[in-house]
Amino acid sequence: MLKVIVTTATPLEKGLTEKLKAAMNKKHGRELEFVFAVEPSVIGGIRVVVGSKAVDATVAGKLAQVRKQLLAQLEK
Amino acid sequence: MAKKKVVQKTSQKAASAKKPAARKATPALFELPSLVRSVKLATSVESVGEIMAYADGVVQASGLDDLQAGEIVDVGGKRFGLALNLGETSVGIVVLGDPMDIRVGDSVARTGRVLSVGVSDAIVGRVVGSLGESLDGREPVLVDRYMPLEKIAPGVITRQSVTVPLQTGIKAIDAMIPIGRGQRELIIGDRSTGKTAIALGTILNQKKENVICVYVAVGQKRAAIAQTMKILEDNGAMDYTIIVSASASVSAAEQFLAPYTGLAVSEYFLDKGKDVLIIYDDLSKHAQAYREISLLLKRPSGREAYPGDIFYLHSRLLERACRLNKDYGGGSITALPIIETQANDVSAYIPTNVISITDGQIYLEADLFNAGMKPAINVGLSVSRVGSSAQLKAVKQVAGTMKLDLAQFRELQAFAQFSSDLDERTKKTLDRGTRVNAVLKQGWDKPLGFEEQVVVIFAAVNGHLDAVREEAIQQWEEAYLEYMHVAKQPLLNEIIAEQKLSDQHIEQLHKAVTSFNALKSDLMIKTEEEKETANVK
Repeated sequence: MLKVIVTTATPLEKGLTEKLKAAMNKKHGRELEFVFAVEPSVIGGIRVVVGSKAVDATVAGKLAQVRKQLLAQLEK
Repeated sequence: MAKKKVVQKTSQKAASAKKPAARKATPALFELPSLVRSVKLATSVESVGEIMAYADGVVQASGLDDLQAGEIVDVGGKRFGLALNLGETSVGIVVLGDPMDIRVGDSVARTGRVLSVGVSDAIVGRVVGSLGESLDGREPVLVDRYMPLEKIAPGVITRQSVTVPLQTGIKAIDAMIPIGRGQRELIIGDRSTGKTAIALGTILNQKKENVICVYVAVGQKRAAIAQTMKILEDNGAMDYTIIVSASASVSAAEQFLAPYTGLAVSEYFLDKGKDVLIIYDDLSKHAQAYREISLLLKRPSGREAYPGDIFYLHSRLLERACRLNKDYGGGSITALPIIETQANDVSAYIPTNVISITDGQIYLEADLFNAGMKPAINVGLSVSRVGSSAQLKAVKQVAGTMKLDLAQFRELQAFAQFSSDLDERTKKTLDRGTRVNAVLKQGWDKPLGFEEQVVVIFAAVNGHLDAVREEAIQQWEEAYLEYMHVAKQPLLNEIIAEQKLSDQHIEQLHKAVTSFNALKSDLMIKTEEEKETANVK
């Protein structure tokens, strides 16, 4: 069974979780085990980890990208 | 709205992140708004995993399903690791850098990169670590290109046979075990027999040869590395030398990588068509570091507990030494790996491996060293399989008879120990052998040009030293070279230019030595009687 970890800053609304579950089931076509985590440190957005694939659409993730790209610019 | 928030937060974060690099990056500070605007944001899709266990520098992690072997892994966002083992349920990652605050449960992520080191021409004269970090207290090395640590060796089509000599400046080596550019010549011997001294002497001699030198120190004491650096600096050799250091205090992973880092640096210069000399000091420690990693990764162990791929570890390293042909830049990498033996045992696992990989070996013996023969090269056991085609004609002309003299000498030496009553011919061979042998003694930090070697060896093999007292030979050599430079410089210049001895040169050399000997009667065996006693000795 594939494990899916969904991380958000605030708890997701019931409707949203059901929608997400349905979409994920349709995409992966096999049994999925969902874990919904709440972590304020992600600030906003959503992060979904399926097996070893992580899809990051959180504000914290974006900030990390900004930091990385700016530092890369500075090093040049 | 969300986007705007990101930008605000970013400027704060970027400003704080900038502090360490601020010194260099002052102009960039003014461009900050445009820089921030240039940042591209996208929903990232990453391959991640979780640390299951950490011990002795090795992380076992779950996840990372599509990880490649040898890929760099982001370990907990603060350091990187190298993926060496890919298993069904877990991967083995050796941690590079400080492992202090690794926690079980930390996330690991793919980077999609393989190990590489940033190199530019500015790296010459620097001391760097296995990951290219500056170790000499100076600014980070500027990066022109990233060179991969692991690379397939140049193919057959790109190569050319070894034809140009790499002068070590050491008479015994250049004359009898010549090394060519692109060759791999092993320096092997027990501890403190002068292995590093030969390597350093060779670096010192490259001053006028337009060769970039890379000295890779693996598992050495930091004090020893500092000393090496001082020697090179004092002799002005750091102007063309790079030191790659993984001292005994760094992790086994970094010690394992250091030779590959040195090689990657060398390949940067190779690609520019330059000749490079790389010294691995030493590969025994390198093999031990790799053994440590392999055992921690629970790979099956073989002979002497080394893993099965220990031969490949060294063969893929040394295969990358090469001489490229004109179409591919014409550069070369000459490798001088060093192996430390235990009690002269060359049949141990690692020594036999490296002997079979290289194009010959320089074999150093503690007995010779203790007997005052420095460099302590055992001429009988040392060979160079490809170097003779690279040897200069002039050296070849004088060295051919020398090998013969020495072979005869060694044969007779054993007899001579038992009997004092020797016939005239035997005595003569012994005398000659003793003197030729004595001429090969040389301070490691006093490299000689090939023309100087030629004239000295010429005198020895042609019997001009037979009349010189045995204990005065060193003195004679010094005075002779001085004399040649002062009185016969045109002749030396001619030899340098023509690189061979014509009949005319030989005649002039005979005359020169004879007239020099006439000047130095104080160094000669004086009477017939004295000669007798000297021979008995």
